[in-house]
Amino acid sequence: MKIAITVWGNRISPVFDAASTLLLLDVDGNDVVDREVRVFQPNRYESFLALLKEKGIELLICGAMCETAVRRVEASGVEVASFLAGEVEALIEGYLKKRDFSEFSMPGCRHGRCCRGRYKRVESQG
Amino acid sequence: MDKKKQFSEAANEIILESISDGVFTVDHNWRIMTFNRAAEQITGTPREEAIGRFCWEVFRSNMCEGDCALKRTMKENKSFVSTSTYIINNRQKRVPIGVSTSPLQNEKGEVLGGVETFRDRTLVEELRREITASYALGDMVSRSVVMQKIFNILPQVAESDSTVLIDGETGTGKGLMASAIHNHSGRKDEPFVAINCGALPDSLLESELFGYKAGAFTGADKDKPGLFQAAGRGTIFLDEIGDTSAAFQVRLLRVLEDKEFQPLGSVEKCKTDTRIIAATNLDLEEKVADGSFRQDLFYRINIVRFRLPPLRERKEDLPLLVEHFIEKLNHIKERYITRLSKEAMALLLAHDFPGNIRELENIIEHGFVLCQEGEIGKEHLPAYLQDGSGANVSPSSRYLLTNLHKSEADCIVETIVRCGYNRLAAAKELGMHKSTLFRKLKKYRIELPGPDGRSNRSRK
Repeated sequence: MKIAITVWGNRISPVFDAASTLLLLDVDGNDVVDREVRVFQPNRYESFLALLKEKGIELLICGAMCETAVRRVEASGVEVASFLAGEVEALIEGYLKKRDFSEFSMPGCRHGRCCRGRYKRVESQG
Repeated sequence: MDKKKQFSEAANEIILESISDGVFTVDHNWRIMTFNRAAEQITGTPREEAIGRFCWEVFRSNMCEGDCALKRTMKENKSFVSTSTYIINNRQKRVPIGVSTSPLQNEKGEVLGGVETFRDRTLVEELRREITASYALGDMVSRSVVMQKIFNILPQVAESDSTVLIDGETGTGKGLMASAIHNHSGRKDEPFVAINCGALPDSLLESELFGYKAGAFTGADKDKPGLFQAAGRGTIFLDEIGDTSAAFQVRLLRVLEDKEFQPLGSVEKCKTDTRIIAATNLDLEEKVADGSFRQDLFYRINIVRFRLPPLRERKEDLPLLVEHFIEKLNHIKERYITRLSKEAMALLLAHDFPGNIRELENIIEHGFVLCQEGEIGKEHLPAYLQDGSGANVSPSSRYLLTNLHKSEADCIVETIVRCGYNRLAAAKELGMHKSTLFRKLKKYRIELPGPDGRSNRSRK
């Protein structure tokens, strides 16, 4: 499973549309087997989507993301877990331990609307 | 005293809760301490969820990561007023806002954190769009008197079905106007076809417009309908008609007079009910006078005529046009450029725009390439605009500059003569230091008689 996370220092970038750094993870079972940091421009959708495709990303984890951006990314076949906040390493650890993302929800995010609470990692994944 | 303080605090709370501006305060660790009712509404975040969280997790502005106004306030201990930006609310919508920030201080002047107030500008943006729409016709926007006159009569002209001639310099929006005429006419549901007559050689232009039959020439394997057929009952826009050859003009005249045309290689004529709109950037009367444009065709197409003024004659439209292009490009490129900085606008106002509105649109697009978000500054504009000297100065600016220099040189000479060649007195009268005067004398190569007026006087 390959994951991309928009990062700001050691935290998830608060707003996808203004983020500039992408952490790419290759998760195999319960381990992160590869990490890569890439600088990107979120407003340049075509090159951003091309990067996700090139890296085989299946899930994008980010902070607040506008509807248009969510649709564009999802239309390219990448799942989006947006409106998440907190420390990146804690989130990765939770993900590896198959915990859902609800503890990282941004304030005001209602399940079923933003991150939709559907990203609990199940056994079949990874 | 305590009662007074309690009353004052209660009043402050009531005021904060009743205002329509969102207000929140943060401590030194960027944790939200207070969050008013309007802030809840604008961000879509309940107060109980916001308090104690990092401000960027609640506020979710595009400034948080980079140019945070609150961070600047805390760092410099001063207020910043009205920065335009946007936030993403809990419904995943971008909300345009205006932000002001101030340090939060106690009675002793100690900084406790920062306070941020923000105003939802959605309504303002909508109203602005509506106002802009009242200055728009089709894809054209203008508030200049000349263009407003055109906008006023255009719907009547569009409905009339008459042939229209549009003249104006390159890039003034002749194509947009032709399209607006078509869209306001009874033919709006029919095709609108445009062709640049100046870009094609005669034979190609004819085959494009009138089509051809199989075998009409080598390579014509099958029938090809022309643009007149494709336009049907719609409108055909013939751009740069002044550049067409005499032979083509004859054929076009026949179409206009007889309402029929003959495809190449055909023996039969085809009827046409297409409306013709022609445009040129040349002076057609002059071309008629020198014999390079047929007079009869000129009178055939010159039924209703619009002259589109160049941008340098309607610079009052610059802010509106800039706003229009920023909005258009934000939409196309899915970006959030808010505006053009004052310095950048000043550069545009000083420019002559030989390429007219097309040039302006290209300049804004250049800005979009270099500026990712926020305000397009002068550093994001093309180099030829930033360098206001030498060959890059527009012809009218250069003219102005030359005349300014000439006037300054004349003025210096007159003053020196009036002061009896006393350089010091002349410098005083001109309100400049004598060394400045000497520098200017050298710059304008003004030669004066050797002895200074002062030394003459002293000898007397």
